[in-house]
Amino acid sequence: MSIKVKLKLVKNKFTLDVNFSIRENKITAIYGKSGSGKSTLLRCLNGLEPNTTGCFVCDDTIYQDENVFILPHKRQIATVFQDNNLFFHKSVMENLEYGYKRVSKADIKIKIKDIINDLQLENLLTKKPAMLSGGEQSQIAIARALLSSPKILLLDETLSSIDIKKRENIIKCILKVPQKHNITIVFISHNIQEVSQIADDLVLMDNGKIITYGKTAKIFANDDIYFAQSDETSVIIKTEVAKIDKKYAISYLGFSGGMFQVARTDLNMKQKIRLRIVAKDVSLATAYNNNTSILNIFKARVTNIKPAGLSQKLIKLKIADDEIFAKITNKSAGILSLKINKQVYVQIKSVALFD
Amino acid sequence: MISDADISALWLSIQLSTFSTIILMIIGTPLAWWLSKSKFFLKPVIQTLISMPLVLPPTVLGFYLLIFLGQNGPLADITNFMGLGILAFSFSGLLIGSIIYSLPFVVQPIYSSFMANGNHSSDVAATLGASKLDRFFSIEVPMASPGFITAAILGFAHTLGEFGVVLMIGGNIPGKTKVLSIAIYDHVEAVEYASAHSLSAIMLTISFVLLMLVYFFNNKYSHFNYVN
Repeated sequence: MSIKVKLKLVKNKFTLDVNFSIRENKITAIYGKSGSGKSTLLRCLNGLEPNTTGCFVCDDTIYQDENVFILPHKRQIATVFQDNNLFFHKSVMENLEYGYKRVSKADIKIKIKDIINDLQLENLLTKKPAMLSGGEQSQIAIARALLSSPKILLLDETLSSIDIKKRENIIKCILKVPQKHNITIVFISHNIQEVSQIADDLVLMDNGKIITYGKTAKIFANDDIYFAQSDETSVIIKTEVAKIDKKYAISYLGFSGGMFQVARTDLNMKQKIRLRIVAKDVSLATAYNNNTSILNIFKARVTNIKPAGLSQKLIKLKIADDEIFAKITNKSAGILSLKINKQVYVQIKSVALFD
Repeated sequence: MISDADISALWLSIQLSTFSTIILMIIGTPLAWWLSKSKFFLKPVIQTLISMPLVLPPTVLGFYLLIFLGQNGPLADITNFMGLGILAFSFSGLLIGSIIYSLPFVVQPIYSSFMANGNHSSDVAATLGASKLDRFFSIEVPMASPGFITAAILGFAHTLGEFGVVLMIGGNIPGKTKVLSIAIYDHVEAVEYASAHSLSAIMLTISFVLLMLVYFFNNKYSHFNYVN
């Protein structure tokens, strides 16, 4: 069940030439520098660039090939653009109804009432868009797009304009969408945190081309990727809540190499949690150290060592089946005499939790 | 002070303005929309032709219309064939003259509104399942509504105030082609200043109110072009 995209567009001296596939009913992030062609790619997907050539096929649906070009309004690909999404002559409610009214009854996946409840939009319904904040406008635009019951939902850096408190709520809502309503989500982001939090799959773009694509965790663990060289170098580890210690207000999250201890008690047993661990928060030791405040210490094996800038090294390590990066100074690497296959202990100072 | 003939001239002016405005809106809307979307290389030529009445002396326009629509004009055979007869010195002739004369005042505001709104909202609507025609009526026209209101009022007011074109193509036939502005001219010629005063005051008031409406609407709807 995958969506195959092989498209080309030359516009204003910029060439977009992409070839990749994404999984249906999953959340895919498109990540890349500004000017790498992410927004143009979205416009090719939703059919707004009629000069696009190539093919774009999803199972039995052909959006485009040599002989076919489905017009945007017939694609069932809703798009939330970076800004100015709402129709300013219509109220919030009329905006929400716009796509909804144009869906045949049999195809309706999401009801207006449900989305108003989920996103807590009751107080906004009679307002005109000009009275809303930028974040609220994005929220309404996402709701309106979902209400058009699309097969694919495209989000162009929509989440970044929403304030943190509301963003968590929207992300929770979005995370449920693919499985619950059979909607594939493709979102553009330049925020690694956001990508690691919600993307099942990742497409990396640069200069109108695809650098790589695949499962997010796999790409994060690939030390050849350019952002492995940046401050954002991190890995995603999938865990499950195994134990909750009420006394210390600590939850234990199981993974292949043992248990992470995190200072949270609001989690449920067996709940699936994604952890993002940034390389600079990981330190290494050759011996197990009892005298430390760090709770998360695991035995690991060095699998790769790469220079990262002038004074640092990026160390790739394996803890059982999971991989992790540590960024340490060249001096420390020398003191520890790190070599490939050497056994070390990783000490993890902090983790980001996505439930 | 206001004679029956004056009332008839006033009524004729209002009829002429009303019909012209209705026809201008019907012609002007698709024309303005096409101009706002088209990349046709001769577009500037078409825009120039539409705008000519802005700079041309009305008598020149009226003169050409008289030549074309008059007894021996190239269009006389066609209008005769269509059973319309000779259009010069008739209400239909006036109507044609007024439409050409006021066209830029109707096309320009609608065109500007379409241009200001751009394609973005229409693109958004397309991804929400709205066809081209659907988008035109549900998004593009309502969003351009300030332009439509301005266009209708300006078209009406401008036709109401025309003189040169009407005089050339319509002559001065009481009850048929003698409109308010010509009636005022006649009163002045005949040194009937009191009547000229009354009719001029009526024109002044109507023009003031209509233009004021344009500015009220423009200010009220300025948020339509709101950009983040």
